[in-house]
Amino acid sequence: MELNKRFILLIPLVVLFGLILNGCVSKARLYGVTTWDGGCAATSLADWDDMGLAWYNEITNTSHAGAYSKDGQSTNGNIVDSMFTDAGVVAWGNDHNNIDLAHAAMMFMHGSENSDRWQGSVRVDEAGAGDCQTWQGDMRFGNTSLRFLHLSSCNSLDDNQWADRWWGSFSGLHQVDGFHGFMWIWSELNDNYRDFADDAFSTTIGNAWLDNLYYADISGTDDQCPVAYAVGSNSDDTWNRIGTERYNNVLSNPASVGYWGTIYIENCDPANENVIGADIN
Amino acid sequence: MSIKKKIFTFLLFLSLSVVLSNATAYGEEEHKMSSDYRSLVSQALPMWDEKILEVPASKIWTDKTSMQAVARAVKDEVLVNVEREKKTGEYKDKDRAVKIDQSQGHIRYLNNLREFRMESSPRTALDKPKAEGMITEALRTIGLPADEFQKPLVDTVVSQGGSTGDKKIDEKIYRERLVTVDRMINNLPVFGSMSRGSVSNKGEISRLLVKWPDFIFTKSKRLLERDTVIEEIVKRIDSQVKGQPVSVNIRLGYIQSPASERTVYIPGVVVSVLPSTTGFIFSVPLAE
Repeated sequence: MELNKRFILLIPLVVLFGLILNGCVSKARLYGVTTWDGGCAATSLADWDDMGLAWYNEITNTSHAGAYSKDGQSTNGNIVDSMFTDAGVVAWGNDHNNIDLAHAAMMFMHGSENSDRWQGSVRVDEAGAGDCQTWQGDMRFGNTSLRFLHLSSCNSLDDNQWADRWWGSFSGLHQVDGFHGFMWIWSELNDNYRDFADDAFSTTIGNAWLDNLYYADISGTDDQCPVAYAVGSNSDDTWNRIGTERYNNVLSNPASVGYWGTIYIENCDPANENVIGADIN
Repeated sequence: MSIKKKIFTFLLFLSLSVVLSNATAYGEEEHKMSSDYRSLVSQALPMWDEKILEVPASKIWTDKTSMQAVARAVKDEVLVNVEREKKTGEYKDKDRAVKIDQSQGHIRYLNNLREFRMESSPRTALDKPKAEGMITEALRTIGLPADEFQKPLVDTVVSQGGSTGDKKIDEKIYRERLVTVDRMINNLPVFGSMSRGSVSNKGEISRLLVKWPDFIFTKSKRLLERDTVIEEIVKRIDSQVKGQPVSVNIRLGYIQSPASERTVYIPGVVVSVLPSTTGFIFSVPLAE
Protein backbone atom coordinates (compact mmCIF):
# COMPACT_ATOMS: atom_id res chain seq x y z
CA MET A 1 0.00 0.00 0.00
CA GLU A 2 2.83 2.35 1.02
CA LEU A 3 4.68 1.44 -2.21
CA ASN A 4 1.60 2.15 -4.32
CA LYS A 5 1.20 5.60 -2.72
CA ARG A 6 4.81 6.46 -3.48
CA PHE A 7 4.36 5.27 -7.02
CA ILE A 8 1.26 7.42 -7.48
CA LEU A 9 3.09 10.44 -6.09
CA LEU A 10 5.91 9.88 -8.57
CA ILE A 11 3.65 9.99 -11.65
CA PRO A 12 3.13 13.79 -11.73
CA LEU A 13 6.87 14.30 -11.25
CA VAL A 14 7.67 12.03 -14.18
CA VAL A 15 5.08 13.79 -16.34
CA LEU A 16 6.49 17.21 -15.33
CA PHE A 17 10.04 16.08 -16.11
CA GLY A 18 8.88 14.83 -19.50
CA LEU A 19 7.17 18.11 -20.27
CA ILE A 20 10.26 20.11 -19.28
CA LEU A 21 12.48 17.86 -21.36
CA ASN A 22 10.16 18.15 -24.34
CA GLY A 23 10.01 21.92 -23.92
CA CYS A 24 13.80 22.09 -24.13
CA VAL A 25 14.00 20.29 -27.47
CA SER A 26 13.99 22.66 -30.43
CA LYS A 27 11.37 22.02 -33.07
CA ALA A 28 11.66 21.83 -36.86
CA ARG A 29 8.92 22.29 -39.42
CA LEU A 30 8.74 21.96 -43.20
CA TYR A 31 6.23 23.71 -45.45
CA GLY A 32 6.04 23.51 -49.21
CA VAL A 33 4.27 22.84 -52.46
CA THR A 34 5.10 20.54 -55.36
CA THR A 35 1.68 20.48 -57.03
CA TRP A 36 -0.30 23.65 -57.57
CA ASP A 37 -3.76 22.20 -58.06
CA GLY A 38 -5.54 23.79 -55.13
CA GLY A 39 -6.81 26.94 -56.80
CA CYS A 40 -3.49 28.78 -57.26
CA ALA A 41 -1.70 28.29 -60.57
CA ALA A 42 2.01 27.51 -60.91
CA THR A 43 4.26 24.94 -62.54
CA SER A 44 4.22 21.69 -60.57
CA LEU A 45 7.66 20.22 -59.82
CA ALA A 46 7.48 16.75 -58.33
CA ASP A 47 11.02 16.46 -56.93
CA TRP A 48 10.99 19.57 -54.72
CA ASP A 49 9.67 17.93 -51.55
CA ASP A 50 12.51 15.39 -51.60
CA MET A 51 15.00 18.23 -51.15
CA GLY A 52 12.97 19.66 -48.26
CA LEU A 53 12.49 16.27 -46.65
CA ALA A 54 16.22 15.55 -46.89
CA TRP A 55 16.78 18.65 -44.71
CA TYR A 56 13.89 17.84 -42.36
CA ASN A 57 14.96 14.26 -41.76
CA GLU A 58 18.56 15.29 -41.07
CA ILE A 59 17.90 18.18 -38.67
CA THR A 60 15.71 15.78 -36.69
CA ASN A 61 18.19 12.91 -36.91
CA THR A 62 18.74 11.92 -33.30
CA SER A 63 22.37 11.01 -33.90
CA HIS A 64 23.07 14.76 -33.61
CA ALA A 65 23.60 16.19 -30.14
CA GLY A 66 20.86 18.81 -29.99
CA ALA A 67 18.75 17.25 -32.76
CA TYR A 68 15.47 19.07 -33.37
CA SER A 69 12.15 17.32 -32.92
CA LYS A 70 9.81 16.62 -35.83
CA ASP A 71 7.10 19.21 -35.32
CA GLY A 72 5.39 18.66 -38.64
CA GLN A 73 5.91 18.68 -42.36
CA SER A 74 3.21 20.00 -44.66
CA THR A 75 3.56 19.36 -48.36
CA ASN A 76 0.73 20.44 -50.64
CA GLY A 77 -2.59 20.21 -48.77
CA ASN A 78 -3.84 23.51 -47.39
CA ILE A 79 -0.70 25.65 -47.75
CA VAL A 80 -2.07 29.20 -47.55
CA ASP A 81 -0.78 32.75 -47.23
CA SER A 82 -1.79 33.25 -43.59
CA MET A 83 0.47 30.43 -42.35
CA PHE A 84 3.47 32.66 -42.97
CA THR A 85 2.12 36.14 -42.22
CA ASP A 86 1.98 37.93 -38.89
CA ALA A 87 -1.13 39.22 -37.15
CA GLY A 88 0.85 42.28 -36.08
CA VAL A 89 1.19 43.30 -39.72
CA VAL A 90 -2.01 41.97 -41.29
CA ALA A 91 -5.06 41.17 -39.18
CA TRP A 92 -5.55 37.79 -40.86
CA GLY A 93 -1.96 36.66 -40.25
CA ASN A 94 -1.66 33.30 -38.52
CA ASP A 95 2.05 32.45 -38.41
CA HIS A 96 1.86 32.12 -34.60
CA ASN A 97 -0.14 28.92 -35.10
CA ASN A 98 2.03 27.70 -37.93
CA ILE A 99 5.60 28.38 -39.05
CA ASP A 100 6.51 30.63 -36.11
CA LEU A 101 5.91 27.74 -33.70
CA ALA A 102 9.08 26.06 -34.99
CA HIS A 103 12.64 27.01 -34.02
CA ALA A 104 13.94 26.11 -37.47
CA ALA A 105 11.81 25.90 -40.59
CA MET A 106 12.18 25.44 -44.32
CA MET A 107 9.76 26.65 -46.97
CA PHE A 108 9.92 25.32 -50.53
CA MET A 109 7.77 26.93 -53.20
CA HIS A 110 8.12 29.04 -56.33
CA GLY A 111 9.45 32.48 -55.52
CA SER A 112 9.43 35.82 -57.26
CA GLU A 113 9.65 39.52 -56.44
CA ASN A 114 6.86 41.98 -55.83
CA SER A 115 7.76 45.59 -54.96
CA ASP A 116 11.37 44.50 -54.38
CA ARG A 117 10.30 41.89 -51.82
CA TRP A 118 10.23 38.11 -52.06
CA GLN A 119 6.90 36.33 -52.39
CA GLY A 120 6.23 32.60 -52.36
CA SER A 121 3.51 30.84 -54.37
CA VAL A 122 1.13 29.01 -52.03
CA ARG A 123 -1.29 26.29 -53.11
CA VAL A 124 -4.70 27.46 -51.95
CA ASP A 125 -6.24 30.91 -52.33
CA GLU A 126 -7.80 31.17 -48.89
CA ALA A 127 -11.00 33.03 -48.10
CA GLY A 128 -10.45 36.60 -46.97
CA ALA A 129 -7.40 38.75 -47.57
CA GLY A 130 -4.80 36.02 -48.00
CA ASP A 131 -4.06 35.29 -51.65
CA CYS A 132 -1.94 33.00 -53.85
CA GLN A 133 1.34 34.75 -52.95
CA THR A 134 2.69 35.04 -49.45
CA TRP A 135 4.64 38.32 -49.35
CA GLN A 136 7.68 39.15 -47.21
CA GLY A 137 6.24 42.57 -46.38
CA ASP A 138 3.49 40.81 -44.40
CA MET A 139 5.92 38.59 -42.47
CA ARG A 140 7.35 38.98 -38.95
CA PHE A 141 9.10 35.95 -37.53
CA GLY A 142 10.41 35.08 -34.10
CA ASN A 143 7.81 36.75 -31.91
CA THR A 144 6.60 33.20 -31.23
CA SER A 145 9.64 30.88 -31.63
CA LEU A 146 11.28 30.89 -35.06
CA ARG A 147 15.07 31.40 -35.03
CA PHE A 148 16.27 30.03 -38.38
CA LEU A 149 14.31 30.22 -41.63
CA HIS A 150 15.52 28.50 -44.80
CA LEU A 151 13.93 29.35 -48.12
CA SER A 152 14.22 26.88 -50.98
CA SER A 153 12.70 29.45 -53.29
CA CYS A 154 13.79 31.61 -56.22
CA ASN A 155 14.64 35.27 -55.57
CA SER A 156 14.18 34.76 -51.83
CA LEU A 157 17.25 36.83 -50.90
CA ASP A 158 17.97 38.95 -53.97
CA ASP A 159 20.56 41.60 -53.22
CA ASN A 160 18.04 44.40 -53.72
CA GLN A 161 16.10 43.03 -50.73
CA TRP A 162 18.95 43.19 -48.21
CA ALA A 163 19.41 46.79 -47.14
CA ASP A 164 15.86 48.00 -46.74
CA ARG A 165 13.54 44.99 -46.84
CA TRP A 166 14.30 41.67 -45.15
CA TRP A 167 15.45 42.96 -41.77
CA GLY A 168 11.91 44.26 -41.23
CA SER A 169 10.72 40.65 -40.88
CA PHE A 170 13.04 39.93 -37.95
CA SER A 171 11.16 40.02 -34.67
CA GLY A 172 13.24 37.55 -32.70
CA LEU A 173 14.32 35.66 -35.83
CA HIS A 174 18.11 35.20 -36.07
CA GLN A 175 18.86 34.21 -39.65
CA VAL A 176 17.29 33.69 -43.07
CA ASP A 177 19.00 31.58 -45.72
CA GLY A 178 17.85 31.83 -49.31
CA PHE A 179 18.94 32.53 -52.87
CA HIS A 180 19.87 35.47 -55.03
CA GLY A 181 18.16 34.83 -58.38
CA PHE A 182 16.83 31.45 -59.44
CA MET A 183 17.52 28.24 -57.56
CA TRP A 184 17.14 24.80 -59.09
CA ILE A 185 15.29 21.53 -58.50
CA TRP A 186 17.40 18.41 -59.04
CA SER A 187 17.22 15.04 -57.36
CA GLU A 188 21.01 15.16 -57.12
CA LEU A 189 20.63 18.10 -54.71
CA ASN A 190 18.74 16.02 -52.13
CA ASP A 191 22.07 15.06 -50.59
CA ASN A 192 23.12 18.72 -50.53
CA TYR A 193 20.06 19.67 -48.46
CA ARG A 194 20.74 16.73 -46.14
CA ASP A 195 24.41 17.69 -45.82
CA PHE A 196 23.45 21.30 -45.11
CA ALA A 197 21.49 20.17 -42.05
CA ASP A 198 24.22 17.71 -41.04
CA ASP A 199 27.00 20.31 -41.29
CA ALA A 200 25.00 22.98 -39.44
CA PHE A 201 25.47 21.04 -36.20
CA SER A 202 29.27 21.30 -36.56
CA THR A 203 29.93 24.56 -38.44
CA THR A 204 27.93 27.76 -38.75
CA ILE A 205 24.55 27.64 -40.47
CA GLY A 206 25.88 30.24 -42.92
CA ASN A 207 28.93 28.16 -43.87
CA ALA A 208 26.80 25.04 -44.18
CA TRP A 209 24.31 26.82 -46.46
CA LEU A 210 26.98 28.23 -48.79
CA ASP A 211 29.18 25.12 -48.93
CA ASN A 212 26.31 22.82 -49.84
CA LEU A 213 24.03 25.00 -51.97
CA TYR A 214 26.53 27.01 -54.05
CA TYR A 215 26.72 25.48 -57.51
CA ALA A 216 28.66 27.23 -60.27
CA ASP A 217 27.15 26.74 -63.72
CA ILE A 218 24.44 24.51 -62.30
CA SER A 219 22.45 24.74 -65.53
CA GLY A 220 25.45 24.91 -67.83
CA THR A 221 25.15 28.70 -68.02
CA ASP A 222 23.87 30.01 -64.67
CA ASP A 223 25.07 29.73 -61.09
CA GLN A 224 22.99 28.88 -58.05
CA CYS A 225 23.75 31.61 -55.50
CA PRO A 226 23.00 30.96 -51.82
CA VAL A 227 22.91 33.84 -49.33
CA ALA A 228 22.98 33.79 -45.51
CA TYR A 229 21.39 36.87 -43.91
CA ALA A 230 21.32 37.81 -40.22
CA VAL A 231 20.63 40.83 -38.05
CA GLY A 232 21.94 42.17 -34.76
CA SER A 233 21.91 45.21 -32.55
CA ASN A 234 25.00 46.50 -34.33
CA SER A 235 27.75 45.39 -36.68
CA ASP A 236 29.73 43.42 -34.07
CA ASP A 237 26.62 41.65 -32.82
CA THR A 238 25.52 40.70 -36.35
CA TRP A 239 28.90 39.31 -37.42
CA ASN A 240 29.24 37.42 -34.15
CA ARG A 241 25.85 35.79 -34.73
CA ILE A 242 26.30 34.78 -38.36
CA GLY A 243 29.87 33.74 -37.55
CA THR A 244 29.02 31.45 -34.62
CA GLU A 245 25.41 30.26 -34.70
CA ARG A 246 24.84 26.59 -35.36
CA TYR A 247 21.73 24.48 -34.84
CA ASN A 248 23.20 23.47 -31.50
CA ASN A 249 24.75 26.84 -30.64
CA VAL A 250 21.89 29.32 -30.57
CA LEU A 251 22.45 32.77 -29.05
CA SER A 252 19.77 34.79 -27.30
CA ASN A 253 17.44 36.80 -29.52
CA PRO A 254 18.79 40.05 -30.96
CA ALA A 255 17.97 42.85 -28.51
CA SER A 256 17.20 45.12 -31.45
CA VAL A 257 17.61 45.21 -35.22
CA GLY A 258 20.23 47.91 -35.84
CA TYR A 259 22.30 46.15 -38.50
CA TRP A 260 21.93 43.53 -41.23
CA GLY A 261 24.69 41.31 -42.58
CA THR A 262 25.09 38.80 -45.40
CA ILE A 263 27.57 36.16 -46.45
CA TYR A 264 27.69 35.25 -50.13
CA ILE A 265 29.94 34.14 -53.01
CA GLU A 266 31.42 37.13 -54.82
CA ASN A 267 30.55 37.36 -58.55
CA CYS A 268 27.94 34.59 -58.36
CA ASP A 269 25.74 35.01 -61.43
CA PRO A 270 22.34 33.28 -61.40
CA ALA A 271 19.43 33.19 -63.83
CA ASN A 272 16.86 35.98 -63.47
CA GLU A 273 19.17 38.40 -61.64
CA ASN A 274 22.32 40.41 -62.12
CA VAL A 275 25.65 39.35 -60.64
CA ILE A 276 25.26 39.24 -56.87
CA GLY A 277 26.15 42.43 -55.06
CA ALA A 278 25.52 44.67 -58.05
CA ASP A 279 22.14 45.97 -56.86
CA ILE A 280 22.30 46.04 -53.08
CA ASN A 281 19.42 48.09 -51.84
CA MET B 1 33.29 62.26 -93.80
CA SER B 2 34.04 59.82 -96.57
CA ILE B 3 31.50 57.29 -97.82
CA LYS B 4 33.60 54.44 -96.34
CA LYS B 5 33.64 56.12 -92.94
CA LYS B 6 29.88 56.76 -93.11
CA ILE B 7 29.25 53.09 -93.98
CA PHE B 8 31.58 51.98 -91.18
CA THR B 9 29.83 54.28 -88.66
CA PHE B 10 26.42 53.06 -89.82
CA LEU B 11 27.44 49.40 -89.50
CA LEU B 12 28.93 50.03 -86.06
CA PHE B 13 25.70 51.70 -84.96
CA LEU B 14 23.67 48.84 -86.43
CA SER B 15 25.78 46.22 -84.62
CA LEU B 16 25.46 48.02 -81.29
CA SER B 17 21.70 48.34 -81.77
CA VAL B 18 21.37 44.62 -82.43
CA VAL B 19 23.50 43.73 -79.39
CA LEU B 20 21.59 46.09 -77.10
CA SER B 21 18.18 45.00 -78.35
CA ASN B 22 19.07 41.37 -77.61
CA ALA B 23 20.14 42.01 -74.03
CA THR B 24 17.71 40.70 -71.47
CA ALA B 25 16.22 42.83 -68.75
CA TYR B 26 19.00 41.70 -66.44
CA GLY B 27 21.88 42.22 -68.85
CA GLU B 28 22.75 38.54 -68.78
CA GLU B 29 23.07 36.10 -71.62
CA GLU B 30 19.84 35.40 -73.42
CA HIS B 31 18.04 32.11 -72.92
CA LYS B 32 16.26 30.97 -76.07
CA MET B 33 12.69 30.23 -74.98
CA SER B 34 10.31 28.05 -76.97
CA SER B 35 7.40 25.63 -76.58
CA ASP B 36 8.75 23.49 -79.41
CA TYR B 37 10.54 21.09 -77.10
CA ARG B 38 11.60 18.70 -79.84
CA SER B 39 13.34 21.44 -81.75
CA LEU B 40 15.00 22.84 -78.62
CA VAL B 41 16.24 19.42 -77.52
CA SER B 42 17.46 18.44 -80.99
CA GLN B 43 19.55 21.60 -81.16
CA ALA B 44 20.89 21.38 -77.60
CA LEU B 45 21.69 17.67 -77.47
CA PRO B 46 25.44 17.06 -77.94
CA MET B 47 26.72 14.35 -80.25
CA TRP B 48 28.19 11.12 -78.83
CA ASP B 49 29.73 7.95 -80.15
CA GLU B 50 31.33 4.71 -78.92
CA LYS B 51 34.28 6.65 -77.48
CA ILE B 52 32.11 7.51 -74.50
CA LEU B 53 32.37 3.85 -73.50
CA GLU B 54 36.17 3.86 -73.58
CA VAL B 55 36.75 4.25 -69.86
CA PRO B 56 38.20 1.89 -67.25
CA ALA B 57 35.76 -0.58 -65.70
CA SER B 58 36.73 0.83 -62.33
CA LYS B 59 38.94 3.48 -60.76
CA ILE B 60 39.17 2.90 -57.03
CA TRP B 61 40.77 5.50 -54.75
CA THR B 62 38.91 5.26 -51.44
CA ASP B 63 41.06 2.37 -50.23
CA LYS B 64 43.99 4.81 -50.07
CA THR B 65 42.35 7.28 -47.74
CA SER B 66 42.22 7.37 -43.95
CA MET B 67 41.78 9.71 -41.02
CA GLN B 68 45.54 10.20 -40.97
CA ALA B 69 45.54 11.10 -44.66
CA VAL B 70 42.87 13.74 -44.02
CA ALA B 71 44.84 15.04 -41.03
CA ARG B 72 47.98 15.39 -43.15
CA ALA B 73 46.03 16.95 -46.02
CA VAL B 74 44.58 19.75 -43.91
CA LYS B 75 47.68 19.99 -41.71
CA ASP B 76 45.73 19.65 -38.47
CA GLU B 77 48.16 18.70 -35.69
CA VAL B 78 45.40 17.67 -33.29
CA LEU B 79 44.06 15.20 -35.81
CA VAL B 80 47.52 13.94 -36.70
CA ASN B 81 48.02 13.09 -33.04
CA VAL B 82 44.71 11.27 -32.77
CA GLU B 83 45.24 7.55 -32.93
CA ARG B 84 43.00 6.12 -35.60
CA GLU B 85 43.42 2.51 -36.51
CA LYS B 86 40.39 2.26 -38.72
CA LYS B 87 40.49 3.58 -42.23
CA THR B 88 36.96 4.92 -42.00
CA GLY B 89 35.16 6.66 -39.25
CA GLU B 90 34.38 9.86 -37.50
CA TYR B 91 36.13 12.22 -35.15
CA LYS B 92 34.55 15.09 -33.27
CA ASP B 93 35.69 17.44 -30.55
CA LYS B 94 34.37 20.84 -29.52
CA ASP B 95 36.18 22.60 -32.38
CA ARG B 96 36.38 20.16 -35.27
CA ALA B 97 34.53 17.34 -36.99
CA VAL B 98 35.71 14.76 -39.52
CA LYS B 99 33.56 12.21 -41.31
CA ILE B 100 34.80 9.64 -43.78
CA ASP B 101 32.40 7.39 -45.67
CA GLN B 102 34.46 5.29 -48.05
CA SER B 103 31.44 3.51 -49.51
CA GLN B 104 30.13 6.83 -50.83
CA GLY B 105 33.51 8.50 -51.45
CA HIS B 106 32.37 11.20 -49.05
CA ILE B 107 34.70 13.11 -46.71
CA ARG B 108 33.96 16.18 -44.60
CA TYR B 109 36.39 18.18 -42.46
CA LEU B 110 35.30 21.20 -40.40
CA ASN B 111 37.51 23.23 -38.07
CA ASN B 112 35.87 26.15 -36.29
CA LEU B 113 39.19 27.38 -34.90
CA ARG B 114 40.24 28.28 -38.44
CA GLU B 115 37.07 30.16 -39.32
CA PHE B 116 36.97 33.88 -40.12
CA ARG B 117 36.53 36.12 -37.07
CA MET B 118 35.50 39.66 -37.83
CA GLU B 119 37.36 41.02 -34.82
CA SER B 120 40.67 39.29 -35.36
CA SER B 121 41.11 37.68 -38.80
CA PRO B 122 43.09 39.28 -41.64
CA ARG B 123 40.78 40.84 -44.22
CA THR B 124 42.87 40.15 -47.29
CA ALA B 125 42.12 36.87 -49.06
CA LEU B 126 44.99 34.57 -49.95
CA ASP B 127 46.28 34.74 -53.55
CA LYS B 128 44.06 32.62 -55.78
CA PRO B 129 46.84 30.40 -57.18
CA LYS B 130 48.09 29.69 -53.66
CA ALA B 131 44.59 28.77 -52.43
CA GLU B 132 44.10 26.55 -55.48
CA GLY B 133 47.44 24.84 -54.90
CA MET B 134 46.65 24.18 -51.23
CA ILE B 135 43.34 22.49 -52.01
CA THR B 136 44.54 20.41 -54.95
CA GLU B 137 47.54 19.26 -52.89
CA ALA B 138 45.22 18.38 -50.00
CA LEU B 139 43.01 16.34 -52.32
CA ARG B 140 46.02 14.46 -53.67
CA THR B 141 47.17 13.75 -50.11
CA ILE B 142 43.76 12.35 -49.26
CA GLY B 143 44.16 9.99 -52.19
CA LEU B 144 42.02 11.45 -54.96
CA PRO B 145 43.35 10.74 -58.47
CA ALA B 146 44.71 14.06 -59.78
CA ASP B 147 44.18 13.00 -63.39
CA GLU B 148 40.45 13.37 -62.74
CA PHE B 149 40.67 17.02 -61.61
CA GLN B 150 39.09 19.64 -63.80
CA LYS B 151 40.61 23.11 -63.71
CA PRO B 152 39.70 24.37 -60.20
CA LEU B 153 37.35 27.30 -59.73
CA VAL B 154 38.52 29.75 -57.08
CA ASP B 155 35.80 31.92 -55.54
CA THR B 156 35.80 34.41 -52.70
CA VAL B 157 33.35 34.35 -49.81
CA VAL B 158 32.49 37.86 -48.69
CA SER B 159 30.49 39.60 -45.98
CA GLN B 160 28.51 42.72 -46.57
CA GLY B 161 26.15 44.58 -44.30
CA GLY B 162 24.78 47.90 -43.26
CA SER B 163 22.99 49.92 -40.67
CA THR B 164 19.21 49.75 -40.63
CA GLY B 165 19.02 53.30 -39.29
CA ASP B 166 20.95 55.47 -41.72
CA LYS B 167 20.74 52.86 -44.54
CA LYS B 168 24.52 53.08 -45.01
CA ILE B 169 25.97 49.99 -46.76
CA ASP B 170 29.45 49.08 -45.55
CA GLU B 171 32.29 47.91 -47.77
CA LYS B 172 32.45 44.18 -48.45
CA ILE B 173 34.87 42.15 -46.36
CA TYR B 174 36.83 39.19 -47.72
CA ARG B 175 36.33 36.14 -45.50
CA GLU B 176 38.03 33.27 -47.36
CA ARG B 177 38.72 31.59 -50.69
CA LEU B 178 36.48 28.75 -51.78
CA VAL B 179 38.14 26.32 -54.20
CA THR B 180 35.90 23.92 -56.13
CA VAL B 181 37.31 21.00 -58.11
CA ASP B 182 34.96 19.15 -60.42
CA ARG B 183 35.64 15.70 -61.79
CA MET B 184 36.42 14.65 -65.33
CA ILE B 185 37.03 11.25 -66.87
CA ASN B 186 37.61 10.68 -70.58
CA ASN B 187 37.42 14.48 -70.98
CA LEU B 188 33.80 14.43 -69.83
CA PRO B 189 32.28 15.61 -66.54
CA VAL B 190 31.31 13.09 -63.87
CA PHE B 191 28.07 14.51 -62.52
CA GLY B 192 27.53 14.31 -58.79
CA SER B 193 31.25 14.36 -58.02
CA MET B 194 33.03 17.41 -56.69
CA SER B 195 35.42 18.59 -54.01
CA ARG B 196 35.41 21.95 -52.29
CA GLY B 197 37.80 23.49 -49.80
CA SER B 198 37.84 26.74 -47.87
CA VAL B 199 41.15 28.49 -47.33
CA SER B 200 41.24 31.09 -44.58
CA ASN B 201 42.94 34.46 -44.93
CA LYS B 202 45.63 33.05 -42.63
CA GLY B 203 46.35 30.34 -45.18
CA GLU B 204 44.78 27.39 -43.38
CA ILE B 205 42.19 24.91 -44.68
CA SER B 206 39.14 25.49 -42.51
CA ARG B 207 36.68 23.22 -44.28
CA LEU B 208 36.97 20.45 -46.85
CA LEU B 209 34.22 18.60 -48.68
CA VAL B 210 34.82 15.59 -50.92
CA LYS B 211 32.08 13.88 -52.92
CA TRP B 212 34.07 11.59 -55.17
CA PRO B 213 32.72 8.02 -55.26
CA ASP B 214 34.90 5.29 -56.72
CA PHE B 215 34.29 5.22 -60.46
CA ILE B 216 32.66 1.91 -61.29
CA PHE B 217 31.48 1.79 -64.88
CA THR B 218 28.84 -0.49 -66.26
CA LYS B 219 29.88 -1.57 -69.70
CA SER B 220 26.62 -1.08 -71.51
CA LYS B 221 25.40 -3.47 -74.10
CA ARG B 222 24.29 -0.78 -76.48
CA LEU B 223 24.22 2.99 -76.76
CA LEU B 224 20.77 4.41 -77.37
CA GLU B 225 19.81 6.00 -80.65
CA ARG B 226 19.74 9.79 -80.71
CA ASP B 227 16.02 9.88 -81.53
CA THR B 228 15.22 7.64 -78.58
CA VAL B 229 17.06 9.98 -76.24
CA ILE B 230 15.36 13.04 -77.73
CA GLU B 231 11.98 11.35 -77.27
CA GLU B 232 12.69 10.63 -73.61
CA ILE B 233 13.89 14.17 -72.87
CA VAL B 234 10.90 15.76 -74.62
CA LYS B 235 8.54 13.49 -72.68
CA ARG B 236 10.16 14.43 -69.36
CA ILE B 237 10.01 18.17 -70.11
CA ASP B 238 6.41 18.03 -71.26
CA SER B 239 5.34 16.09 -68.17
CA GLN B 240 6.60 18.95 -66.00
CA VAL B 241 5.84 22.15 -67.87
CA LYS B 242 3.09 21.07 -70.28
CA GLY B 243 3.61 23.35 -73.22
CA GLN B 244 5.10 26.38 -71.42
CA PRO B 245 7.99 28.14 -73.18
CA VAL B 246 11.33 27.02 -71.76
CA SER B 247 15.02 27.21 -72.52
CA VAL B 248 17.08 24.01 -72.49
CA ASN B 249 20.73 23.24 -71.86
CA ILE B 250 22.10 19.68 -72.22
CA ARG B 251 25.50 18.41 -71.09
CA LEU B 252 27.13 15.09 -71.93
CA GLY B 253 29.03 13.09 -69.32
CA TYR B 254 28.79 10.26 -66.82
CA ILE B 255 25.81 9.99 -64.50
CA GLN B 256 24.99 7.68 -61.64
CA SER B 257 22.91 4.74 -62.78
CA PRO B 258 19.35 5.04 -61.52
CA ALA B 259 19.08 1.26 -61.64
CA SER B 260 21.81 0.59 -59.11
CA GLU B 261 21.87 1.04 -55.34
CA ARG B 262 25.67 1.26 -55.43
CA THR B 263 27.30 4.21 -57.10
CA VAL B 264 27.68 2.90 -60.62
CA TYR B 265 28.27 5.22 -63.56
CA ILE B 266 26.87 5.10 -67.05
CA PRO B 267 27.03 7.54 -69.95
CA GLY B 268 24.25 10.08 -69.86
CA VAL B 269 23.12 13.63 -70.36
CA VAL B 270 22.10 16.19 -67.78
CA VAL B 271 19.22 18.36 -68.97
CA SER B 272 18.57 21.81 -67.47
CA VAL B 273 15.15 23.30 -68.18
CA LEU B 274 14.33 26.91 -67.44
CA PRO B 275 10.70 28.01 -67.63
CA SER B 276 9.70 31.48 -66.44
CA THR B 277 9.90 30.25 -62.83
CA THR B 278 12.10 27.80 -60.94
CA GLY B 279 14.44 25.78 -63.14
CA PHE B 280 14.71 22.01 -62.94
CA ILE B 281 17.35 19.48 -63.92
CA PHE B 282 17.23 15.78 -64.65
CA SER B 283 19.50 13.16 -66.18
CA VAL B 284 18.82 10.66 -68.94
CA PRO B 285 20.94 7.54 -69.59
CA LEU B 286 22.48 7.11 -73.02
CA ALA B 287 22.84 3.36 -72.69
CA GLU B 288 20.52 0.48 -72.04
